[in-house]
Order: sequence, then structure tokens, then C-alpha cells
Amino acid sequence: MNKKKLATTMMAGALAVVVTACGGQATNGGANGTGGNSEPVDVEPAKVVEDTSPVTIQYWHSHAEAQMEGLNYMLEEFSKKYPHITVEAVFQGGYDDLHKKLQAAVAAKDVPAVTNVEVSSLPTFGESGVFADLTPWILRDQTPLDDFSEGMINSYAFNGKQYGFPLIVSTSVFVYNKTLLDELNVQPPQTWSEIDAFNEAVTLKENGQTTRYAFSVPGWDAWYFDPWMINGGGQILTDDQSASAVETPESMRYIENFYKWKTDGHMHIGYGKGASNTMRQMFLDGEIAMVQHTSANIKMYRENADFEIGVSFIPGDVTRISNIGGAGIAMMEGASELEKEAAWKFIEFMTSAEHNIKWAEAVGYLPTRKSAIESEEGKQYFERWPQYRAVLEHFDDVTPRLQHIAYPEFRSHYIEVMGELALNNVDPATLMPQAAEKINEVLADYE
Amino acid sequence: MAGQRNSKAVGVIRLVLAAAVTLLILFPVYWMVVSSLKTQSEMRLAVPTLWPEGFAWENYAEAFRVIPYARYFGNTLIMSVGLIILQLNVALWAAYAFAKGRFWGKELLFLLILAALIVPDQVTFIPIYVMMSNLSWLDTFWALIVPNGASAFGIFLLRQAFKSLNNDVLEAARVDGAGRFALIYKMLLPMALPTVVTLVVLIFISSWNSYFWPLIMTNSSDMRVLTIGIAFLRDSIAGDEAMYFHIIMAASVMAILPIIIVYSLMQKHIVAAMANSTFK
Amino acid sequence: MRMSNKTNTKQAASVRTPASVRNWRTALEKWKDFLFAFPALALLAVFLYYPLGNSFYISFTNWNMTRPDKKFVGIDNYTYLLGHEDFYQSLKITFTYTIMDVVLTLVIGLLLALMFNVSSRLYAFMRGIIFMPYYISMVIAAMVFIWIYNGKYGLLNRVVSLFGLDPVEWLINSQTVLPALVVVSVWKGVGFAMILFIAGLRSIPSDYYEAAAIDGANRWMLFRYITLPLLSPMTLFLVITTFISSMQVFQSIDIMTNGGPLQSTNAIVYWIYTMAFSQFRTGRASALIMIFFVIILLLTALQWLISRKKVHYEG
Repeated sequence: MNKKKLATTMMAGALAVVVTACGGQATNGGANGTGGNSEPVDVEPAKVVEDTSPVTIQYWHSHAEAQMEGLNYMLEEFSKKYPHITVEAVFQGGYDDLHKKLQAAVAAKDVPAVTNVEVSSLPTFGESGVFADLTPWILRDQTPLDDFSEGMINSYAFNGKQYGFPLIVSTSVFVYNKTLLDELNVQPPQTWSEIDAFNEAVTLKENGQTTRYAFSVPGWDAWYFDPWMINGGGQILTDDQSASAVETPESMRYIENFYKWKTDGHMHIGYGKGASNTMRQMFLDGEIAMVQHTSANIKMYRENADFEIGVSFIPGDVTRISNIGGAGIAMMEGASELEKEAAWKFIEFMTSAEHNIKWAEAVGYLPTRKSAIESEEGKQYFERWPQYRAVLEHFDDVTPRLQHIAYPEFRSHYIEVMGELALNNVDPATLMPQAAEKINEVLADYE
Repeated sequence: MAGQRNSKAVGVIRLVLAAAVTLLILFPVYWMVVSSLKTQSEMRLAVPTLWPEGFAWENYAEAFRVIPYARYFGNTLIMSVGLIILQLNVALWAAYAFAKGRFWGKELLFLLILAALIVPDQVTFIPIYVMMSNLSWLDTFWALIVPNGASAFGIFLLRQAFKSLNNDVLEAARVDGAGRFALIYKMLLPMALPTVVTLVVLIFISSWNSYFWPLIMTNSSDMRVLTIGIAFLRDSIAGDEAMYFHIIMAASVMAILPIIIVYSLMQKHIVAAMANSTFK
Repeated sequence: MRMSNKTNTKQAASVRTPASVRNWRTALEKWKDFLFAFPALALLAVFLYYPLGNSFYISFTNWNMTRPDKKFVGIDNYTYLLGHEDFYQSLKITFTYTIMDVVLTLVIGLLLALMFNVSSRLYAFMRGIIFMPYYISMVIAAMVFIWIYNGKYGLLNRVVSLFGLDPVEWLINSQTVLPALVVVSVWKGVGFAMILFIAGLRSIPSDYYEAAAIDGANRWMLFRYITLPLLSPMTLFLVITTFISSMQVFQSIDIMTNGGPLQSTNAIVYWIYTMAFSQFRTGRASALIMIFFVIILLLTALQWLISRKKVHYEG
């Protein structure tokens, strides 16, 4: 046992060195998602393992209470299929808490076998050598990666290594008050050019004070407004990923529009801890007609609104995309070989086409497998949940977020510009250049 | 005291003011209890009700369902009792040594102990986490108790109390051949009993309420304590926080109930002891 | 033999034993005394000074705790922090919070002590209630206050609207968020301050007041020249303990604001924590630990020194 541990540790060390050596050449997620799962030539398929001696693995997760029923169902099915593997699922708090615990566990070399990872942190963890490259197992079992939605599977690859699989996938969509919009006889905007007319028709004011906002875009997380930046023709970093591009005129188009719409009293921007609750309440109380929110909340909106809700893909301009969110499932590099084999079986099972629809429906996230969506079961699912159709129709426009190891750190700088706009109505044009400088400072720090 | 000259009218005004202040400070606790008995729709009324329309006891049932209360309660209790035993004894010995003992570098070493007061857990836990892992103590009560075995505040408090005690009695006992353990447990401890009681209560309060340490040092749901149960309850209904506040409040009431009961039973001793126990 | 003068009784008892044996015995006694301090010292050495020393070492590296390798970077982390406006901003936030917290806790605590220093069962009961928040977990206190501060359904905005004012998002407003956090801390801490001040008040001999009253002092003068000076040891104790705990503010920020909005509650300890864990910069976070440690140590020592001249100790 000890020898094994030592060997694993040494392997982890060696791998980290290799990974470090090729660090820096981050792939650009951006608009076209070239996260790339091109197979590296030097990876050998994993050995076939026939060992069925009992093994227990830990699965650290952030599945909220609402997802537990689905998870328990999956765990039960898994233990039927692999009776020798026991999976201990442990809730470790939200993604932030989970990521912190993962780091402590890695530092102590005492890790679970399988974990969730929030999609934008995958490059940082992958590059550090925390997650195992799944390629050897994929090669061995000939897992059909092309059955996954391309954007979704690429979101969990970095530098040519497949560090995880998409597990609970969401994207941001506009949820609108259909009853109200039907009454007003307007459609949710599909392009930026339709937004002004939409605003005029929907916004309600009393004595110059807005009593009903036409729409709301969350400002607390870049995940919601990065797509706007890209749809306006902008990008977060320059093409070679060496410097900030948030301050370029193309990248500023969306936020300057936001500034105008907000100043004119049409648009609401949520910001700060708890802003998500506030926005949702305002929508449910009829104070906002349309909110951009994660598709994972569609179920919650449908259950809690006392009006009919509709879902619309976010409007486009130069392009029309939305980013992938949610979390994936990954294997820890520090786990033992025996655990890794069990972990792989668990990862494959959790993301398999067989249970894909059931899982998606139980947790309220999107199906990830093309074959599952096209199956009879998939068709029935979309009948039960017509609200997800808007997403399905744009399946290929749901792209990975920017993949860069410094992204989780530097994004806070341009999020703050949005925060200043949301809270203090500060003109973004005055702040974005400083934010860009700070972003460049962070980037230089990572060199 | 100056107050002795107060007329009856002044006494009444003072009482009214005092009662008002007391109610104000009590209010958040009252609000927690009231909110824990409201339904979801009542929580979202534009004008909050000061008394629930009906008692929604099902909130407690729901909190019980999500949080394995008995298990977490037991864990919290074991951790607290363990910490009381360890911290109290370590502090008694050290306080004896620093108050009555003679050895080299005593003052300097005491300063090193006091310096511990200024270091928060958040800056020392990483190396300790690694250490606990190497000892295979992670996710056990050892990791929750042992690293916090020495309480600088406790040592300080007891040392002050011991210092104020008369040396002659101790010397007499020593001449009679009493060992140090006998001195500590049979003489110093009874003489400084009010301070010891205070210390026990303070350790109990801080360990019952501790959050950060157990959060970091435990990895399985079997080892969680009540505070983490509450925080996770909130996390696991993430995004729906405002919708489930009545349940969070119900769980909170359940978590503070034990400590309120302990306090109510011992209030007289605690307040009296607390008053005796700072430093001069 | 510095000790010999102080140990007369002992020497008297052992006057017949030869000097060498006596010395040996004294040494043994000292060792035995030391052994009683040892468990505490050992625990602190392992669980406090070793981690601090370790942080000191790491502060000169670029370590990211998920990696086995770390590079020595000299004082880069220190120069980065000391040359960065975020550091001064975070320091300013921490000090603003600390000053508000210390002043309000002590002033209100003292006022409450004057008001509640009445010997009756009713007042004892009320004191018990005022002390109650002290033993309520910060996790739970934070939850209740999040609900009270809620922009839409919160009770506070209801109260504010009774006065005809607009509702405020208390925790998402850079102007109100820090005071909102201080209120929670003061709510939890005033009861403790009150009880200590009452103990202080009761230890002041009443003949001081009587003598001064005979000399014609009014109530303000009694308070100013007798009560306040004689309470100063208690005040010093409370200033230092409250100062230390407010400088370490972490939990309420972690639960209520996450350092926001717009970094307006990014106090030092919270920043250290996020720097190490959200930004993978353990090396730089360790440097910040060291700087923070020195600052708080110096300020505590300074308070102690200044007050030594002003604090009145009896007897």
C-alpha cells in the first residue's frame, strides 16, 4: 500500500513538472471554443482491469438539496452495476468551498477519488496537476466523445488533455413573463437592434421612476455578460491571450449599451451577494419582465411564478452565443490506481447516454449527449419541458467560457466595472481602461 | 453609588429605558424564532408580520430532514467536552507554572503564550491540516480538539486568578509535602473556582459555536457539527436562500437551543464569575 | 542565584543540607515547575509557532499549494503587497471596521453598565438577556441579520420606510455594508463589555464618591474623575481584546458579504484566505500573514505601553 502511495506521489510530481513545462500556452475558449480534445500522440490506453475486489471511493460534490434525489438514484443504479465499488458522496458546500477543500486535500496528499469542478476553474486545477488526464481510459474504453455536445466536452479539456466530463451543464437564458408579454403583444428580442423597441413597449414608469424594468442582466458574475461582450464583437483577451482586450471599442459595445439602457431606466443590473435572490423576487413580483438567469433555474421559475413563463436564447448582434456553466466531474491525480479505476467507472456512468435524460430532468440541468436528446426518451423530455427547447435550438451556440489559468483571478477587475455601473451608475468608459491595466498586471504575474 | 439618591420617578424612567434596550437587543433572537414559524408566503409579505399567522412547525420537520440533528448535536457535544477537558487541564498546569512556579525565562515564555491571542485560525490552518493528514487525524475528533488544546486566554485568565491567591497557604502545603498536582487540584482550583467555572463556560461557548475549524478539518458528513449543518443547509439550497429562510431560521433555533438552556441554568454563576475574572 | 532572596522560607526549611545538594534541588524544582508549563508551550509551538514559521518560509516562495514545486522568489511577495493599493485599501477597511467596533462596543457597553448596575432580580434577568447574543454563533447571528437586512422583505427597510425613507440594500451598498457588519459585532459584544464594566463599577469603593460629594463634586465630575479613571484597567482589557478580535474579522464577512460589494469589506484576514484559496497564491498570502502579524503585534504593544501611563491600578 505504501509503495503504491509513493509511486502515485512520484507520478503526480513528474506529471506536474511536465504540465508546468507546457504551461502558459492556454487555449482560447472565447467565441469559437477551440479548447481542443485532440489526442496527444504519446498517451497510451489504460490497461484493462478485471479486478473486482471491493473498493470505496469518495465523491466530493456541490449538489444542492434539490439535486440529491437524482444523485441518490444514480448512486443506487451504479451500485447495481458495479457491486464491488462503494461510492461515498460527500457534500462539501458550494463550488467555492469545494474548491478550497480540494486544494487543502491536495496539499495534504489526502484526496477523494472523484470530485465536481466548476467549469471555469478547470484550467487552473488541470494545469496544476490536480486532476488526472482521462485520455488513457477514454482510449481504452473507446468512449464516444463525439456523442457529447462539442462545446460541453471541450469545456472540460485543456491543453489537449481531457480533465473531466460535463456533468451538470447550464447556460444562461432569458426567462420572461409570457403572460405579460402576450398582453403587451411583444416578443422577447432576438437581436440587439430589437431591444430598444422592446424596452419602449415593456418598461413602466411613474413620475420618472421605473416601476417595471424591461429586463435584467446579472452583473455579479462575468458568466452572464461575457457572452454579451463576445456577441457585440469583442473579446476578453487579445488573440494570443497575452493582454487584456476588455477596453477595446468592440468589447465596450455591450457595456456602453447597458449604461444607456440602465440610465434610461429600462434595464436592471443585479450586483453583490444576494442579488440573485433580489432579481428573482422582482421578476416573480412582476417588477422585471425578463431576466437573464441560469437555465438550471427554469424549473424553479416555472414552479414559483403565478404567471406563465417563457424562455428565450439571449439576443445576438455580431454573433449569438451563450456560455457553458455548471460543473463537471473529474478524477483526482492523487488517488491510488485502484481508486482511479473505480473513479473512471463512476465518471463514465454518471455521464453516460443511458441515464442522461433522467439525470438532466432530476437535477434541472441540460442533457449533454446527442444520442440521448435524439432518443424517444429525449423527445418526451422536451415535451414535458418545452422551456428547454430555446436552448436545444441553439445547442451549437452554447460555447465554452474563456479558458485561461488566470481567468478566475483577473475577471474580478472587469466585474467591478459592471458593479460600479450597477450600484453607482458610473460610466464604464471611465473605469474600463484601469481595469484593463489591472488585468494585464495579473497576466504578467502569471508569466 | 450615585444612583442611590434617585427618586422613584427616575427609577421608573430608568426601568422603562432599560426594558426598551433589553427588548431591542433581544429582538433579533425573537425575530429568528418568529421567522422559523412562518410559511414561505408569509415570509414574503410586503409588511412583515410581528407574530406568525399560524405556527408552521413543518419548518422544523424539514430542517430535521435535511440536517441529521442528533448526529451533529452529538459531534458538537463531544468536541466541546473534549476541548473543555483538554484546554482546562493544560491551562491549569500552565497557569500554576506561570503564577506560582519558578523557572528560567518565565516572563518571556509567558509573552509567547500571550502572543497566541493575536493569531487567527485562518492564518495557521494549512500546515496544521497537512500535519493532521500525516497523522491520519483528519476527519476525527483529534483534529478538532488537539490543535486547540492550549488556550492563551484561558492560561491568562487562570494565571491572574492564581496570582491573587495567597502564597503562604501554598508554601505551607508544600512544606507538608504536597505534590504539585495536589496543589493545583486540591488547593488552587477550589480557591479559584469562580474563574474556573467562567473558563469552562467560555470554552463551551466558543467550541459550540466554532465553524471554521470543523469546516476545514472534517471531510465526511458523519463528522459535521451543528454550525456547519446550518451553513450547508444554506449552501445546499443555494440561490433559493430567500425562499427557504424560514427553514434556515428553524435550524438556527435548534442549534442555539442547547446553549441557551445551559446558559439559563447557570446564568447566575456565569455572570458572577465573569465579573470576577478579568485582570488587574 | 537570583532567586535565593525570594525563597527564604524554603531555605529555612533546608538550612542543614549542603549547598551543592541545595542547588541541585532548586534546579530540579525549577524543572518540575517548567514541566507544568510544557504542555501548553509544546501545543503552541506545534500548532502556532511552527505554522507561523512555515508561513514565514513560504512567504519567500511562489508556492501554490496544489503543486509540489515551489520557487524561491526573495522578497517579491512583500514588495508586491507593500507597493499595491489593494493592500492599503484592505488595511483601511480593517481599521475602519476595528475603530467603529471598538468604540461602539465600549461606549455602549459602558452606558449599559451604568444603566443596568442595579441590584435586583429584574435587572439581573435583563442583564442576562443583553449578554445572550455573546453566546450565539456568528454563523447564526449572520443568518438572522442577512434576513433583517434583506432589501425587499427585511425588517430594517420596513422600519426605515416608516420614517418615509427609501429602502436600502444594506449589504450591497458600499456605504452601508461596513456599518451593517459592525452592528452585528456590537450586538454580539456589548453584553460582555457591560458585564465587565459592571464588575469594574462595583469594585470602586463607595467612600470615594462620598468623600468627593462632600467636597461638592457634581455627578459629571464624579463620573469623570472617579468612575472613569478607576474603570481604566477594565477599559484597557476590553480595548485590547475587542481590538484583536475586530482586526481578525472574518466569519461575518465570509457569510454575509464575501468581501464585497466592490471589495468594500475585503478585510485583511478575509483577503488572506481568498488569496490563498481562490487565487492559488499561497506564497503571497503567507507574506500578508507576516505583515498582518507584525502590524497587530506592534499596535497591541503600543496600546499597552500608552495605557501603562494612564491606567490606574488599585493597590
